[in-house]
Amino acid sequence: MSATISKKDMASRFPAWGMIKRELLTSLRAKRSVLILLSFMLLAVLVILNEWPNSEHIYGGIKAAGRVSRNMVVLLSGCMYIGCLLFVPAYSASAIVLERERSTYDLLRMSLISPLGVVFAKLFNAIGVFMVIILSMLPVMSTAFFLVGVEYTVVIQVFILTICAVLTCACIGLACSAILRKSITSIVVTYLSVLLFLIGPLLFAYLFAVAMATFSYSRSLFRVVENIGEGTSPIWVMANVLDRGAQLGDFVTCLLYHGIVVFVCLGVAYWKIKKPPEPAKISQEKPIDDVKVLKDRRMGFPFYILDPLKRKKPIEDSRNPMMVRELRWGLLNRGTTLVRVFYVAFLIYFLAGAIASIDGRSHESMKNWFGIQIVLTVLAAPGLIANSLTKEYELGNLDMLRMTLLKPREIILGKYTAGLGALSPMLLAAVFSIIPIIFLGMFNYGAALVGYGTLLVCSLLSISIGLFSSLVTKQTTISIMISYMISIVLYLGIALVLAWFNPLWLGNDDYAMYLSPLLVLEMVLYPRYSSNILYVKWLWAMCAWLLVSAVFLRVSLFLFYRNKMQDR
Amino acid sequence: MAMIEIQHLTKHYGKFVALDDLNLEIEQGDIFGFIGPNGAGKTTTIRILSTLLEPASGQAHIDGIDVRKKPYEIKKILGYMPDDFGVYDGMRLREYLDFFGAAYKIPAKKRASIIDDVLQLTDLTSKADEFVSAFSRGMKQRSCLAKTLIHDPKVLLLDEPASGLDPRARIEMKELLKTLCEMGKTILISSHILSELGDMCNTIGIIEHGKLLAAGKVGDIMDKVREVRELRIEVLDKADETENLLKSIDGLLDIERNENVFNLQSNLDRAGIVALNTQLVQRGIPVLFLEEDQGSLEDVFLSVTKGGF
Ligand SMILES: Nc1ncnc2c1ncn2[C@@H]1O[C@H](COP(=O)(O)OP(=O)(O)OP(=O)(O)O)[C@@H](O)[C@H]1O
Ligand SMILES: [Mg+2]
Repeated sequence: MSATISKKDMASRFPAWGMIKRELLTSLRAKRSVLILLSFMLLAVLVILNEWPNSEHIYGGIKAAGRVSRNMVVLLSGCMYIGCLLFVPAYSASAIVLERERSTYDLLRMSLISPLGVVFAKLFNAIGVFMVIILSMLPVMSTAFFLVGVEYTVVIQVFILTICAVLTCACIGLACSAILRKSITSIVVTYLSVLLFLIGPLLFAYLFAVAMATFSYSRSLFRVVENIGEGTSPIWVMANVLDRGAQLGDFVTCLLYHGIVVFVCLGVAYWKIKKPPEPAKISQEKPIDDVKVLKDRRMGFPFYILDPLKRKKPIEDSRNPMMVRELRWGLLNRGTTLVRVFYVAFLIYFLAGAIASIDGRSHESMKNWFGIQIVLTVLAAPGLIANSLTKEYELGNLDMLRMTLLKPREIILGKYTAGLGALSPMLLAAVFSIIPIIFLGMFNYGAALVGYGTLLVCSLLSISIGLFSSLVTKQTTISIMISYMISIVLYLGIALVLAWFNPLWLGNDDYAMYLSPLLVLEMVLYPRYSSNILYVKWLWAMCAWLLVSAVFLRVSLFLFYRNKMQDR
Repeated sequence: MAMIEIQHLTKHYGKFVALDDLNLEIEQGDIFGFIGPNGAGKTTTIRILSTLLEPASGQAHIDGIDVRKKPYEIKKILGYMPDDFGVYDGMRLREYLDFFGAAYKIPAKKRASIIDDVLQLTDLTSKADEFVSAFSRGMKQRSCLAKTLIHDPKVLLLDEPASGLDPRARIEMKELLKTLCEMGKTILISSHILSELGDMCNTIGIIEHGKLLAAGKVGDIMDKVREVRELRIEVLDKADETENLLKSIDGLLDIERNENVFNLQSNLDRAGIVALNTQLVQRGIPVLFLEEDQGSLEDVFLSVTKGGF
């Protein structure tokens, strides 16, 4: 394309150009973009201030300065990489689905913009802010060059990897939002796919190892698979880059892997935009009253425990109507999804348990195993709960709900129960998947008590956080982002920051337990420490975290009373 | 005391004034038509009345209850049908109504028969076991109306309830509103379809830019609003004599004769028209018709509002 083409020509030749520009501008102008940018910058400045060498380092000479600058780069890059990965999916996963839900999609399809134009416009929208963030990190990171010790190749590799990861995650989100019908499913599926993308090859290698361990063990084959897994897994390569710089071969393989995912996702998105999914068909099957028919259905395939066609009872007087609605209709409608979530979670926990059992040290592996469960639950919770009230708002139901005689307390409690119900498949999977652990002889009552107790408390806390976020804003995507941010701060942030300034904090279990519910697990299940006194302390810590979640609920109620949601 | 009373109601959105010192009274048993161009502030007013929106200043009472102070009491007597509303996925109509019935604290025993009644009223009985989310727009609207009626509210606030209804449903809606009115309910209905409001409502209010421009009985407003009335006179005979007489009368602006039919533009008031008739009869002119071209609510609307945002 020659440089003489004027802007006007661009617009008339490529109708998509206008849309790309619009998408880019709106995404950059949005409040959330400014928020994200600011918080990234703040974090970066904090890191630099904290790491900047003081007089002690000067006596340490060049070696010390080198260490400082390496630290700085590692922290900054890590924050940038993980931060981007956390937020990009939320941006892109709702891109197309939201247009469809707001029924502006048909207008878009009727316009002259080609499907490819739509794909790219949405892509730019999703990554625009993050490109600005990444670019603005460049000068920040360059401060590390003032202190010797960092090779520029490392910095370049970090930036290339981050940019590619952002692009890939955006494409994954785009593909999901083109395939799926509901924004909330799209967001959840996107996050899961991104996780799979990041650790998939590694996971594959480990599964392969487990499989091999049971059949025949060939060391050389295992090494090959392991090398491939480690060389392609973006997280692993990034860690290597930050550690001592990745091998060029690994780096290129990893980029290739990114490229393939991008290509596939863009293809799927393009194809699905050209040929969008049909609107969901709702079969108007009449409810069944006949007891005999119902019994036959129960006895035959698929052996209904809860028959969807059975006529539902009217809501009982003494019950909270909101809660009944959420459980009897909301959850039941998601029945198949929940069952699938159960299977997937069970599989993951089971495999995690099996992998952990290779290790064999019972406390250590139990800790890791529960750690995985808690992290997965906490990661899933915002996707399942942070939309609970924003969804009502977006559907236009909230006004009608608020006009009824339902008290805010009833609405909030109903939603809370629904949240617990939505998390229940994961919790159930956690309970059932202990069985192999018992068989492997790693079972330990104290550890199980601590693990399940912490898991439950963390779930309750995450539900409260999700509910709170869905009352702070009216948009599901923003609510999910807020929810993740609060979770990060509570589960990691405070503890990390304090450990940073005063490393002794972490050594002191008495306090550390109140800094993050995850640390509780670390403290109590650490082999050296397990003692009865610690269990009592654990109990106290759990009470404290329950209190925190109660505070979140109370504030949510307050927000509801304050009629925060009243204006459109 | 009026059923709905609004005094000096003001609402801002940032700097934008959505409602500007609005005053309004609606008597019990009235069907009040709320008319105004897009963005006039109708929905805003209705949402304030239904306690969903906090006004900047001013007061609103329904049945003597202050909307801002006792929202819970208001909700008991108020049925509100929003202009855009959603439906829950996976709920059948009867279940949907049951949920709202329970939310309005109607005892489970009574609920079933009440639901049957509102289904009948809104002509949805045959759809009771179908999923609401698969309904067409008009059917959704009717379900929402059924939901609004479920707790037998004294006052109904309907925001554009007829916009998705087919002609037959509209007529039925009109009948339904009349029935409800006979039951002593007070109804406020906002709509753009003026011809429909004209023969549905007994009082109307016209609002623009957040200000009430006119309110009262439909006829009164027409009188007030229209300076020029169109009269049509048809005589059996003596057409020339009639023309001479008409030309001599003050207040007739334009006379257009077509054989025995006269079309007049006049600025006579009601008394003036009576006087004109008397004169004609006194001269012994055989008047076949003397009628006023009724005009429509549309003319009133156009002459009262200015348009533009
Ligand atoms: N949340 C809001 N923020 C800013 N302005 C608003 C908001 N809600 C309404 N408005 C403005 O207030 C004015 C009145 O809006 P309202 O919805 O009451 O109009 P309406 O008379 O119901 O219009 P319509 O006939 O189109 O339904 C409009 O100009 C609208 O732009
Ligand atoms: Mg309106």
